[in-house]
Amino acid sequence: MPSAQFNPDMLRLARDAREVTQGDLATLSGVTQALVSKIENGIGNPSDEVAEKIAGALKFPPAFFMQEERAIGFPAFHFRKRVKLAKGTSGRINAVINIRRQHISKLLRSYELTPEKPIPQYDLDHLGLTPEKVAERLRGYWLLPRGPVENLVGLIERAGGIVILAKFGTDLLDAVSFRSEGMPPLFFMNRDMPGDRFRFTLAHELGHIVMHTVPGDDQKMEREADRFAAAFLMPASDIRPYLQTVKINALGRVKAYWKVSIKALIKRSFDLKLVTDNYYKVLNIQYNKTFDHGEPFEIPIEQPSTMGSIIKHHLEHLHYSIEDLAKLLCLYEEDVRLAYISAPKLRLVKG
Amino acid sequence: MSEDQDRCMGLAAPLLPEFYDIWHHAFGEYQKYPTEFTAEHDNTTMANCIRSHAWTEVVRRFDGRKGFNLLRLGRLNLLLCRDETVWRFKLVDGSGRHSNYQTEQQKNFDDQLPLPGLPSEAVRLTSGYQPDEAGHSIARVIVARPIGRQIEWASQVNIVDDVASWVDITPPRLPGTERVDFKRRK
Repeated sequence: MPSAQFNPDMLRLARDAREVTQGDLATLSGVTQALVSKIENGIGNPSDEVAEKIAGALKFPPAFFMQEERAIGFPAFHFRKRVKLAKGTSGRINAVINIRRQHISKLLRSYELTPEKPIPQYDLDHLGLTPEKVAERLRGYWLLPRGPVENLVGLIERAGGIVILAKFGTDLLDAVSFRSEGMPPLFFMNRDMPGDRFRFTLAHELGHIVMHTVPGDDQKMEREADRFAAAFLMPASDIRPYLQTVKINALGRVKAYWKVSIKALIKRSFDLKLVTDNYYKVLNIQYNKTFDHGEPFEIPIEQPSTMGSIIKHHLEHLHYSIEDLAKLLCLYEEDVRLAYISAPKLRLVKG
Repeated sequence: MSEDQDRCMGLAAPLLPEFYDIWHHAFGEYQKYPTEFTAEHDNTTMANCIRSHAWTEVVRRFDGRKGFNLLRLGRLNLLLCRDETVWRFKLVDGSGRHSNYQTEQQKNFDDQLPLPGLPSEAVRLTSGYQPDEAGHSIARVIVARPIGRQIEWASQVNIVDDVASWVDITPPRLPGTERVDFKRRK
């Protein structure tokens, strides 16, 4: 393999994806850490032998490192996380998402997405809109009927977004979404969360995609995305009749219909001034006491279909074999199967 | 545990598995309702629906069965069992107390007043269910002995391997506050 094509960016991605330090890689591959460092910084090219050792240690095919791809960074607001993630974990997730983005880009060369009504963008400041108003406009634009959003994933996919269920390997990060040049909006969703939280998170991410194009005040954007999500999933005029008597033992039935968490319903009833400050506190105390092991009335995770269709198109219409897909994506066949074929065990890359 | 409770639960023993099943059946029927309807229900509506399913199941099981009579006194549906016990079916709280609006006949029933068709010696009992705090499932099935607005005693019914047992769940009363006499309502 020609050493000149070795891409240091891909080495960093591979190392981050496997959560392997330069020192670990040196030990695993049998090359010196000094050399690993130099390769990563573009100082000198590895010999074929060294490149293969590194590839073997990181469990990627050598072709992976020869791709002319570029890693992109994601602004903080693209991550819906609960607390600060450990550096290693966020680096791994960032790397894996980058790799997945590259895959999707390659796969879309031979697959045409035909969105019915693409996800629009609204500039809040320029248009003088609130997140609630944007949510109302978007529901109108997509001609959503009154009441609950039946299938949010389906809605986003029909609008050209791609939703990917992923095992982040942590419950500290719920989702990452972004627009990337020449690509449809991508929504990477942590599959290890309850269905109601999944829907609210996805609506939150949709809010970012619709309202936030350039980074700004993180907290402000998070609040806006939350307000958008609440208004999009629970429009004030539609949800109000269901929240006339907010009782902890009655909200489960509302949840089952609206497919939002009881917690979100309590918050919504407070935001819509349907409960007093004091009663809101009481509800939260009752909530914590009653649902300390999770909420009842489980909402299933909505299953995306676009990625499945893209892979199916390659396998059935373009007659790709798994081996062909592995070559295209620069992965081992086993990883292709794990990531794209055996959906129930869908992973970003083999961990 | 009182002698009365022990005696009454002895009389009720053969019926406990059936009542247990009836409540779970009724609750299950309610859970089949489309969520678009149940979302509009308040807790009273839910309780009415479940009780209605339970009563239908009671009729289905006991109508025509030897030793049992179904009585309908106004809006009060009762199951009379061998002139020994007479049962009503209600949503109850953890003390076995039901709390919804009572008709005159229902009050008379609880106050142990004579009612047409009801043998005076039959012990008046409530078969009830208590939902969990989220209203998602049945937390327990209860047998209670209401007298007036007080609960004389309450028992929780447990079914393990198809065998019914019960435990006393009567809330403890402070000394001196026990019901010592039944005062007739004015």
